Amino acid sequence: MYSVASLMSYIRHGHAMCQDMASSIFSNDILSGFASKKKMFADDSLTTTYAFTPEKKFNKDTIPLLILFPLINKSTVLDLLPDRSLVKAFLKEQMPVAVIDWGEPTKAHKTLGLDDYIVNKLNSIIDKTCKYYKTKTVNLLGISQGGNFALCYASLFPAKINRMALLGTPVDFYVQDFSLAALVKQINIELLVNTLGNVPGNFINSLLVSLKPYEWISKQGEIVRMENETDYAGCYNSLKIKQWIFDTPDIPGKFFQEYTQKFIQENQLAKGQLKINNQLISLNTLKTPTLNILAQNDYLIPHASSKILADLLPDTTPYQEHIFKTTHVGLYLSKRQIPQTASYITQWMASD
Amino acid sequence: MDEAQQFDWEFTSATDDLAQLLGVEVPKNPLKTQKATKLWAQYQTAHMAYIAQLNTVNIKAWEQYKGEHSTVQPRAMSHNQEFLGLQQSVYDDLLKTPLYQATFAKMINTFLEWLNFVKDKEA
Repeated sequence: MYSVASLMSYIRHGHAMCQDMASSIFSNDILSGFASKKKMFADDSLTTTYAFTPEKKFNKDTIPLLILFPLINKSTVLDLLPDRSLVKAFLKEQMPVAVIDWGEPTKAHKTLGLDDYIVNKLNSIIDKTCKYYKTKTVNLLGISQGGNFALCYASLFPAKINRMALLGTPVDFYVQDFSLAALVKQINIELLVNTLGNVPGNFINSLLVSLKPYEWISKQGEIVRMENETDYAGCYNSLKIKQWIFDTPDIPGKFFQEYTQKFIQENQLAKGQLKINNQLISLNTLKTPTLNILAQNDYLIPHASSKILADLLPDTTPYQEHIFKTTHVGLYLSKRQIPQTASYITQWMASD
Repeated sequence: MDEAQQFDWEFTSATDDLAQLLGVEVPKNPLKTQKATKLWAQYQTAHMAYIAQLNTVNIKAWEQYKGEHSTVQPRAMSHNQEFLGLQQSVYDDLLKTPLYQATFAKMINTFLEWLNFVKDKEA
């Protein structure tokens, strides 16, 4: 007999072995970025925003793209490998990009909540991004949970947002077969946060891995196979991706509690009941042109959860949906998919 | 079932399991008052119910695998890609059931109740 927790232990043990293998094979820093970036803004000891500017001359009127990544993983994945960098793909399209690193919260940050992230932090970041690129607005790219931030922010401050693209973003958490939401729905979040303070990254990892535990073990065997067959390039790529996945930061307790209760357990965003900063988030009055990108093989976020947006936005709001043949993470990490994602979004941002 | 149980998994204790899953450290010498003991028993019950759910994955996948192969070597199964695929497929269905979801949540909630009660209260 065994539990998912046992499997996690097994997977972590395998991960540690892979890390040892990595250090014996590769000498370079495994989490360094590859595109040229500039630290643009640090709002406190926690959050930093980086600017990536195309090397070639680009149209100075181009509205920069601010990428909102979820808090549950690090945005380093957007520039993880030389041939798997969404940031580099956007730069190739002559699109200036800003990326937020939400940082690694300590106990001192456990009282940061939705208002702090979606209003206070994003307001500062967007104002600084506009100032940096000398524009009046930004375009938003919300990835997964980051898409929730984008929808809320555009609803609260529509004048600051030109257009918005969403990648694998959940909107309705009550749709059928939303396994992750179903698992979380009955957990006593208040007790969890009271007991743990900040929510450990390991817990988030466990929840995600517990959706496909056997597939994870299978992937581990794949890395060992590549190492045995001296496929060091494949081995290196896989190890870097695994390292990123297991490098989940802790999440401020208040944020986790508010997000889980309001978005997942009570489905307030889809129901039109969500309040951020005491203001109602009404998707049915949102006017920001929206591109909703889905992954065909997304086992984390069911399509129905994202597609409901078409019904929630007003008929007059420009809205477009596109499905790529990839996975949730593949939208921004698959070598084959990355150029397509960047190209499609850039063209849509520039279209009439 | 007997064969399925022979797999060479590296099991840890129930306590360590949940500590791993939650990413927390469990008190090394927690309180053993009447209430603490009661909460711990509730967690143990919930944990066993959860394991019983997961065992169905092994059993179903194993029965299916045996039906498709004339000879099998149980101890080598933990790295058998085909068997892992079968397990994942069975688990995918289990994950969608309200019973599994409720059992999973109850295991975590009862563990948290115990941990919350005994934290910072080592004997």
